[in-house]
Amino acid sequence: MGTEARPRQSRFYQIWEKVAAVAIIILAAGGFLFLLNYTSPIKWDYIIEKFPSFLSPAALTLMITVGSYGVGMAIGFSLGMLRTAKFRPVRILATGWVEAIRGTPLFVQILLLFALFSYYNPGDLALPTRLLVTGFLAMMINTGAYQAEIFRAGLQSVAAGQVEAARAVGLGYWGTMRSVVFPQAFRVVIPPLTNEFILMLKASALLSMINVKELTYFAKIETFTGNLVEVYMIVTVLYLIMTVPLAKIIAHLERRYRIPGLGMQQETRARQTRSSQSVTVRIAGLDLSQVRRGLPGRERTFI
Amino acid sequence: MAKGDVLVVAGPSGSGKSTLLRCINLLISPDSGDIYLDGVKVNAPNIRPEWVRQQVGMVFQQFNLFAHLTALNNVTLGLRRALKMSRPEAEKKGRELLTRVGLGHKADAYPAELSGGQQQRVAIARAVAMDPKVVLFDEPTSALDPEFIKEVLDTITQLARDGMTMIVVSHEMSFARNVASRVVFMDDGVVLEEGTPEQVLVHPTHERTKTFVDKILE
Repeated sequence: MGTEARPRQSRFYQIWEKVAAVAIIILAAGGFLFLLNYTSPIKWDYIIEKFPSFLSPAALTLMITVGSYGVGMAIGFSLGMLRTAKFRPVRILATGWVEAIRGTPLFVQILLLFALFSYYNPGDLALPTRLLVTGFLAMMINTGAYQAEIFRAGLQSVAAGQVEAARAVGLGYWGTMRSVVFPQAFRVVIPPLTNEFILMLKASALLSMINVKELTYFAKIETFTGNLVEVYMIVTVLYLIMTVPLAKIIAHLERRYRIPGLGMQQETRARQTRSSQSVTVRIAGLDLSQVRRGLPGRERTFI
Repeated sequence: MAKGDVLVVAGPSGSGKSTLLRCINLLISPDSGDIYLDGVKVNAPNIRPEWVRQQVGMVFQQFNLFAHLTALNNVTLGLRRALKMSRPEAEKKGRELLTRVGLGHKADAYPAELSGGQQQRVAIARAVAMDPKVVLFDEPTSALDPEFIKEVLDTITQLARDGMTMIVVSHEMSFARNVASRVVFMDDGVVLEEGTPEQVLVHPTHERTKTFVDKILE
């Protein structure tokens, strides 16, 4: 995961890198806004006036995602366990289900469920509720299958020796799972689960196509009076507000609760690189510590 | 095996030494033959394997310390989860054992922060913590850097002197000579030779044992 060790840069270089990154982002955003402005001036007062009205559909987007993702997690965890089951028919069934869901577009799944519920309306739900339930179920089923894969990979990432050691100190199957396998798999599974949540939050925009009144649908209705650019700028910003801080918070928690030798290893690697830097051996100008790692080696010097 | 015996098992790789150990604590069920612990046949359907494993400690070649737990929690996990000991009681015992293997000051370190030798000593403490009737060592030093071998062998030797019954798969011949009460030589899943260290290592009768011992002593 893009966390290669690299030689420590000078303080000046580190600051320069950050300044450059921020400058590029500002320039790009500015350029983009300039282009939009070029065709028709952006109505900033419209944006300021309308922004609050987008908050409640954004909240619905968040609620649908959190709900379907949460239930999907229970499904995913169970399916993931079943996919590692010893009993073959169970494994085949679970695998088949996961493959079927992963092999078809979420949009098609939404439409299929929409069609099903149009013919058969369990509990005689009113139309808006029915659409909401349809969307919720489609997303739940979809994320369930993807999360199953994440949990399966996490469970299988626990080394066989760890399980053997747990058995050897007298733990049974569930004791081993609870005390050793789950805690270790948990740390492996957090980054891909975060990623899946963000993907689902964005995918919830598809529900606008079956008239669930979430953020994108609300925006679509708003554009009937024009102001397309302004409306979708608001929507873009709102999606970013929901996704970016979450990713940052999770990454922070990961660093904070990291256990040496498990999961993300950034800092440990950085430390190793630093110490090897101090004992850098240079033969004919080649930095051996970097040659061994096969890295480009920005600080490599030649005599 | 009698109580307090130290049995060293030697033999070329693939000769079934590790399999033998894994059969004894039922990580693998034996195809044939029976295993008795304290006169009880343990590879029987009415015996829970967990019950057997709580009385048979195991130390692995690759240490297999629980990577998400500190040294202390590695030692106490079995006490708390399998023997249902209370946390303070288990931790008191865990600290005593870590001190015994010379790692009292590393109780809160994670496995990745310990050297190979230290990890293996924690693993020994973990196995001994359960007050097992016998401890099995599966090549405890062969995954170690040479500099750490001595500290681990010393720990095992001390344990043997304290009267622990143990079966050690090892190619450390000086260790076998000093500590073993009996040595077994295995090849191809069969015990070829068995006797005192003197008999097996110095005056082997079997041709296969002779060549093996010669090679190792070279």
